[in-house]
Amino acid sequence: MENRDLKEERAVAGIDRMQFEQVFQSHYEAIRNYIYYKSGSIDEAEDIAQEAFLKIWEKRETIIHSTVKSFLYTIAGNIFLNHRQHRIVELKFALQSDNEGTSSSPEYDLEMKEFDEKLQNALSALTEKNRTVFLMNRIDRMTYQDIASSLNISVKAVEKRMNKALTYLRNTLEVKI
Amino acid sequence: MEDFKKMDMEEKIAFHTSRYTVPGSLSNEEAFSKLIRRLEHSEITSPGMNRKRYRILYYSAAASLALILAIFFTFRNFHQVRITAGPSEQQVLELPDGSGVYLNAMSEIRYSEKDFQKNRTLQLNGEAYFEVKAGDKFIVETTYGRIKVLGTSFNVHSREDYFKVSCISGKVFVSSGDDSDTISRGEVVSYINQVYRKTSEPDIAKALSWRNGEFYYESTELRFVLDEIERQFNVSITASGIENRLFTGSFYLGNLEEALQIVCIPMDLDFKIFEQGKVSISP
Repeated sequence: MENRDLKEERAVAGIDRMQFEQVFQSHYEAIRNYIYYKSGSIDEAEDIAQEAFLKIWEKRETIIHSTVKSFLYTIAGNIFLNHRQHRIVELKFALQSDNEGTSSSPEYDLEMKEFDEKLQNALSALTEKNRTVFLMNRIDRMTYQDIASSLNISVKAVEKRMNKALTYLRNTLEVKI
Repeated sequence: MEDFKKMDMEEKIAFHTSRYTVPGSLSNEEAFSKLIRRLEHSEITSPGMNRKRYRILYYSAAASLALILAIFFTFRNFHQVRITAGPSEQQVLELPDGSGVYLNAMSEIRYSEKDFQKNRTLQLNGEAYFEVKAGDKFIVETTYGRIKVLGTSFNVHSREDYFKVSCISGKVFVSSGDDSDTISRGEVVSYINQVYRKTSEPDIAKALSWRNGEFYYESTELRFVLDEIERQFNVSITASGIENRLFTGSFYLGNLEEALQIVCIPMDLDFKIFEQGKVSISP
């Protein structure tokens, strides 16, 4: 009785199980990766991503479908900040196997490997914000627009962080080569 | 492939990062079925999950305070100028000397219109960001501390148990009780729960993000975060089981329900919104 207003409002809110699964399928990896870029721990990233979706499910009656994406990022980010276990980030990326490059020489392989190591270190040394945006764009192939709306920031801010990340990487890697 | 050597740095970076994948241990499907197992488990063990039980406590004091402050008014009395931003409101104003003030919700400044040009002193209650025109000393007096500057910009948050001054540019002299400090850009002085601290904030812009409707916290007592939600959304929150809990993260203006979810969900708290802007929060 007392919260009739609220119930009416909820008629437009709420997601069902199918929508939930859809939301999961389209965002799980990106959310997990997002936390991975911040924490550098895949276990933590998977846990937090699970937790975030669990929360979404628990609150499914009040979730507004059109804003669920940025909501997920914020929730996952806040869970990460409040349960942070890792202070130092050491990212380790797996390389997608490329079957085409079979003719490479050992010398070439070595050079690639060295560069790869330096790059991964440099990525780990980026500031959390710049790294996260940079990797969301490079690894998850998210557009600036998509990143901006996920993180509730402006496209300008995304551009700025991308530029800062690139400048840092370029400077760090060029010195040593 | 062989022309890796010929690539410039940006191309090399692009080439490498395009091949990176995050070393997840679970596939999408595995993660989803794990989640479903957890969902089913939690629904079996707590069947009443959605039938929430709340104890409703009303703070009549908070309600009447909200009522009193619900009106924005400017009045002059004995040349005293008083400018107030009510709940869910922000005010931007220019002082007689040309300095700018941004007032956050439920904040007030007072100064004497007649003397202000000669004696740049004003009283602040609440939170405000100042952009001070260079000139003679400019003083902000609050219940919890005093700020003295020449020409600079800084943010002051002065409420019960929570006094914080963030320097955005120039130099700011802050005193609170027996402690005092001069801070410069990126430095923060706080006096929270009787504890005086001087720290530096690498991302000082966050101190001003309230002007864009974003509120950031780092290991801040949850009650201060909820207080801000009360002021920004003009609601009165009754919370239990949040003593000494710290919150790190952000919330933004938009809708109340979302702001509450963003803060409560990561802290494992439940909330319920009632009529007339009442909110209750419990574990």
